[in-house]
Amino acid sequence: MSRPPQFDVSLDLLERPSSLEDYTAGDASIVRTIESRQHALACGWGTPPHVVTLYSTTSTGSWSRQFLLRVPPYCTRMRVAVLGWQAWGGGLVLSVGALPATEAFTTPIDAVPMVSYWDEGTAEPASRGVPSKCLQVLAAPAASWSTVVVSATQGAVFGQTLALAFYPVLEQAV
Amino acid sequence: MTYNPQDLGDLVPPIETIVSGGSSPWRICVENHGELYTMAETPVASWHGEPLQSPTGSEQTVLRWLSARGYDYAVGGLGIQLRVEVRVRSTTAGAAGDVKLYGGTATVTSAVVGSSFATHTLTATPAAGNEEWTLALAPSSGKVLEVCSMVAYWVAAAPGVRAYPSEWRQTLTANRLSNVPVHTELVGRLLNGPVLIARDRPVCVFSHLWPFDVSGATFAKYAAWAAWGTVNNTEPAIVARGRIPSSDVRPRPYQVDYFLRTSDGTPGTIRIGATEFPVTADVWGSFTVELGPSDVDITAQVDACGAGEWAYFETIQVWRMAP
Repeated sequence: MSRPPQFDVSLDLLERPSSLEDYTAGDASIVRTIESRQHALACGWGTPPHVVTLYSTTSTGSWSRQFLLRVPPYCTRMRVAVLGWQAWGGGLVLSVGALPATEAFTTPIDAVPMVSYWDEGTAEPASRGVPSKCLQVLAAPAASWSTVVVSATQGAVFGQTLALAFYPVLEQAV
Repeated sequence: MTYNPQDLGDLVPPIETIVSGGSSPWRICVENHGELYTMAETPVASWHGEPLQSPTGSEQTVLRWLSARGYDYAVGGLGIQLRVEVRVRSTTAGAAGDVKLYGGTATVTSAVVGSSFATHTLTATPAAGNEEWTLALAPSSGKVLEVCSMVAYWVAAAPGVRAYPSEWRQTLTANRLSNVPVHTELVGRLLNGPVLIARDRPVCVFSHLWPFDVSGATFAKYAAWAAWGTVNNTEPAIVARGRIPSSDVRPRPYQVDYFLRTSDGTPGTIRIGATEFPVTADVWGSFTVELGPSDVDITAQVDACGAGEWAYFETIQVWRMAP
């Protein structure tokens, strides 16, 4: 699964040291390069994904977990993608604190074939129609990194292992 | 003062000309340079899952991981610290003990009170040359503690005016004043500052952690696949699969650190994509792999072990190496 276009803050921005010899006199791209590199680093150096793997030994019924999620500066939403799944049926609801319930993330597991991706070992969630969705993690942008507590509830017949990736959404993608 | 993005709507703000030292866009560039040294809180490790319990009334190491090997960190004394946020609770009400972070110049503790999960923040100054950190639950007599989530990352104090081992350098206050010449060295410093910070603080893009338990009781309480391990296994077996998400649009080297803990020295294998890497048991190991711009599977395998023996991956960390 390739990253969605809005996340393509290429690390090329930070690829190599530069010198003025790379630029012509009066070239405004020097300032642009400085600003771009600073912004890329401030947003988490290319906005690296945060991988969360949730485990449960509950073989039947629903289960709930809490986990910590780091949110880069100036980011209020994160895109959640399913990387791997060992579960049968049910649904997953993610929510953050007191943010409006309507902003909660729900994965329609109905769209997922009744198999385990990891057991099959080949399928990619995106190709199986598993959507990635945005989760609002902060009510307003913050000027520094934040840590939020995410509540996850799996309403599964069998819900065991779930791997999620959280990609920060740059604000211009809103 | 904090980092001040000039235009959140575009990574390349519409600035048409280079302006002199006193005007706003240039001054902000100079001021942001130092702020970024503090802001770059790169992830070091994380773990989330079914709550891990301590034994009743006795201390238990629950998670162990390595930190990045940046020059500024390795030298020490430059204001860079490791910060750990962890969700912990007691199974009973009232004061119940401590959560502890080992690996710094001093052990950092936080008192655990009550039966609801609460976030505890532990910040430690790295001991010179140390790369290994452990988190432990230390319940009081008759108490049991649980942890359900942990994130670890670097924090840095405001930089001083000095030569840093990473070659990053702060700008001077004079550089921000009006009508100050913009000299070549300053432009180079601003151009390369973010590069040097990123290079000195590799990002952990994937981590699997599981507690050390010599009794093997871990496998009695938790499913083996959650522990990325096996017990009583008489033939080689895949014990877990994970997924390393894409984090760049071009191929890039990644470093994998691991620790396979066993009762009898059984070796194993880590497969990333289609490439297998042999794993030696009971010692920290490391290898480097180049990954392309797409998600890739990571698979853990252990060889056959004897009856009553066990093997599991205590730590796997995948670092995206800096340019």
